[in-house]
Amino acid sequence: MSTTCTTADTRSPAARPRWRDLIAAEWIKLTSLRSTPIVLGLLVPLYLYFAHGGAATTYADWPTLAAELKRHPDPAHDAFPFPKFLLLMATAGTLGAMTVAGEQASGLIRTTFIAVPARTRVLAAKAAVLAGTLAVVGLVIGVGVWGVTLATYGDRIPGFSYGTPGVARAVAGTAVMLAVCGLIGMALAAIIRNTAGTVFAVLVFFLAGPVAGKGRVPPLDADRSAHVTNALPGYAWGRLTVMDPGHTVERLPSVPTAWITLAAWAFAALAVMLPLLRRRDV
Amino acid sequence: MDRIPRAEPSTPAGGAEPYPGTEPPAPGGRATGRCDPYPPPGNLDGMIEIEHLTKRYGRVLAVDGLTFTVRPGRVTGFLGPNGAGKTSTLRMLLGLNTPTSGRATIDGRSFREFGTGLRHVGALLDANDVHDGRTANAHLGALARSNGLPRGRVREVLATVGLGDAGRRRIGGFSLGMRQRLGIAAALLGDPPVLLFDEPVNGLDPEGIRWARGLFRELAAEGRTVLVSSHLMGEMEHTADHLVVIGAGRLIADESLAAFAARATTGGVTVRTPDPTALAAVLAEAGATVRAHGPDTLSVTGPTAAEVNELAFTHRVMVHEVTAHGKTLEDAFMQLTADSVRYRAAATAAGAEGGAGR
Repeated sequence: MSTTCTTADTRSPAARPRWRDLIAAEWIKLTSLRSTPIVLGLLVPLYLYFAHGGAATTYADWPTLAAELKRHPDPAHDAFPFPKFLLLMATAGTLGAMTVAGEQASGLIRTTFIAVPARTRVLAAKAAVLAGTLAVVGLVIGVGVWGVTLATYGDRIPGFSYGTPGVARAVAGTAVMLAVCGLIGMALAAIIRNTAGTVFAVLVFFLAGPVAGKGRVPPLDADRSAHVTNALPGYAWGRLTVMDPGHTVERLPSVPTAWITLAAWAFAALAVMLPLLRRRDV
Repeated sequence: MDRIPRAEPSTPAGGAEPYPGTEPPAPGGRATGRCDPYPPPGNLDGMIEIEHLTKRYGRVLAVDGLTFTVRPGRVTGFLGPNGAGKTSTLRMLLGLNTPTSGRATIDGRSFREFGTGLRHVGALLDANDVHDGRTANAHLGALARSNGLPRGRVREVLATVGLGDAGRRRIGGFSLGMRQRLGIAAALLGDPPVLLFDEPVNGLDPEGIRWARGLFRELAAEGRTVLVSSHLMGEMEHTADHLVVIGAGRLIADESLAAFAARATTGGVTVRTPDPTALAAVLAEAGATVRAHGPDTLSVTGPTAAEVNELAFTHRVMVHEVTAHGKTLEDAFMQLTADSVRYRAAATAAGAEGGAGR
């Protein structure tokens, strides 16, 4: 056999695999699928385009806008249009779901676990790579949509810059939100184990859920119903992008509550996914 | 080592003689000092031990109290009819499935206790356990990286399995034979002392089958533990030194190929006669086992063809044809596993192997 020298490794057989190796391996896996760069590459210009559309409308309407509305301008409304960002969340959730569902459906998960029997580490590395990648995409989108919005406003709607309070929060919130959506997608795939079923669940959770939540959830009164919908990652993120709640009539959670909600979703997703896949016959 | 002397198919120079587990390997073998990425031998001797292993999937008992040992330095064939529990056993050995009871260990450890699997055990379970969207390079590159193996290993193992030119191609376009080669390449990545192959020659062309046999023999000759499963006896005849045969999840035989071949010496005789009743009576009296095969044909076990002829002649029974059957390993295998196959067909028609935890 043409085996030649490999790296010397005299560590004990039970030595844990190194995090940097596992993360590098998951990075290769994520980026070697053509769909990943295509989807992520399309998302950024798409949301810059959406931001431009929203900001251009506001720019055009500004001279004729009622004074009351001019007193509470909220450029985040143009930069981060909520319904369009629901689609972004669903995309991130699907991407996350596919990292797990793709391995489960193809059987690659067996090859992966034969190579690294420490399943929890493999999955933690996978979650870290996915969450990190999506966070960077969220950061790029967040910074980008602000740039487009501010540039479109120009001199007509003054008083906003990257330094305006709330701008940085919206960017950070978007980065965290995309990462959390990816993790939720992974957890759904781990629970459901079936690719089509997982994608359906992701779409229901990220698209139908927030929309349905805006109506009254029948057995609950308006307050409780609002609590439930505010606990959804989409609305938690939405709260982080609201710069001036002056003219908002809805029930809004506090900003810290919104951050805690996103963190709780991330934690819950990992808490479900890691033990499930650690014990399961694959 | 009960190795059977045989013509080694195309073994390149440097294939060392098999050595018992803890002895230092012969020069040219696997552990050549500066290259050896493993802890010293003695620490790792590559012994696989299956102890009272049992796996139940719902109502199907896939593996039933299986106990055997696989030793280094030889190719062990792991045989059984479809659904006998071979894949279930390998999956439990590799920590993919949790046994209902019992243990499966490699060097005294359950596989899940190993940190980096590829350096200790190389395995090809199913050639389709890959993502079609990746190139062979990316697939193997990710596996190598997860175990801290250098990127260059990917090119080396691809060249070893004859896929040197296919590294940049997506696996989705690979034939089954190419996937088998890719799976073997993945198993070789970490240069492990223990190798497990589940039905590795399915889909390989004749040249590929010959190559795979040579590779398995070579790996064993380097002192590694090589376990190759198959449902075809003929396959093992040219590859294995030792056989572990299971049926319906139970151990049927665990012996050298030579011992197994010895089981096949009791050949049968087929006789065509216009008077089967009379001949059957004569043969039965002489101690033979006789079964009717159609209106004028008897199948006889016990006496040789010559003895059957003599008996017929002395008792004045007309015979038209007496044919002796030299028995093959295949026959011995069929005979041994016949009961378990029949049991399976009657009781667990769904099949334990196909339904196993996908």
